[in-house]
Amino acid sequence: MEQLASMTEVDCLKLARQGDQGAFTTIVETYQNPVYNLCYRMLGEPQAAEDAAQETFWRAYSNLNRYDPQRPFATWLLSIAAHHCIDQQRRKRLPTMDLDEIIEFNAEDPAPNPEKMLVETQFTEEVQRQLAKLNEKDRAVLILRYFYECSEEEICQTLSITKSAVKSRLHRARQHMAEQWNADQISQSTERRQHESQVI
Amino acid sequence: MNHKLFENWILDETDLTENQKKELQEHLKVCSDCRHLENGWQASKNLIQQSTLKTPAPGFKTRWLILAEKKHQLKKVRRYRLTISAVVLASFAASLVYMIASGSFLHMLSNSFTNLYRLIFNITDSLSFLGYWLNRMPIVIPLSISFILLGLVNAFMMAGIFTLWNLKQRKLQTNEIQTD
Repeated sequence: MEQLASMTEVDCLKLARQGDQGAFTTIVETYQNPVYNLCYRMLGEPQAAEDAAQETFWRAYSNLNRYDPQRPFATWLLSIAAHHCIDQQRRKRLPTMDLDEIIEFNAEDPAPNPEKMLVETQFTEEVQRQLAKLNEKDRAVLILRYFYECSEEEICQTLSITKSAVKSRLHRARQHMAEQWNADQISQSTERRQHESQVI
Repeated sequence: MNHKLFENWILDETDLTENQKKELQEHLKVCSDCRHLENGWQASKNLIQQSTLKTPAPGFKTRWLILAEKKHQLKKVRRYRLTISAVVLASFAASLVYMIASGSFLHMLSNSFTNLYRLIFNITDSLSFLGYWLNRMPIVIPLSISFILLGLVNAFMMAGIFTLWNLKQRKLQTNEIQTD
């Protein structure tokens, strides 16, 4: 295992292609966070994200012979994850996430600072709420662009769509996010005003 | 004033020249729609950039290894089933080809039809014989036989329904245990 840890990604992939599951486990260890994060942002639920991430690695492992070494492995892996999540979403439309669920999930995270944890929870909740309102492909494009800082070219390869489609999807997603933000602000200020008037 | 152009500049995040930037700033001062769009998008973008990377619960690698093992087993079982089905199908096809080629297939087919015809004839014959005797008996006997038969049929049906219900309950309990 120590030997595996000191190997490069290319070596690990070579060994994994020959059927070495240990080598692929090193790959799993390296990419578990980005893959899980993508699945979480796409699906909005920790359990669904875990299942999708596990499935992504299994699909990658069993289709390693289809992987083109000229392409970056991360892009290929994220492409499998994104497609799987889009399929999942199509099968079962994204349910809105309960606040209790988010708090329950984050309570398991080892966070030394409760204030920081609360802020992070609020950010997560807000981001997930906004992302959940986008359509699956628009969401995938936005996540790849801003969470993974992928270029338009990389997004094209990952999602197998044209560059103009990426551009138009990004445009639409940004517009949707902006409108959503403004709508939230208006509803929040209305709510605040109602509370204030009740107090008076 | 080309409103759409400014909207595209905001939403496409195009690299603007100094003059274009000035033009956009001037426009934002007078156009509240574009100002809202710009502010909304920038706020959303900040929110995304400030949110942290989500990580899986500890032990992801171990769980993956367990899943891989399960999937390997499933693959093996599937391959085994496929091989058996292929062998059965191939032997069936081979025997069919042999029977057709040797002419014994048509012989077998005609025999089957004859047997089927005989079976139907015998059943009809037995039923008419039974009817003949039932007509000659006092009415109480056929009635009691019918009651007994109906009772048996009902008992079997009830037992079947209960078994199905029981199986469903057990399945539900197993699912509950799995989700726990």
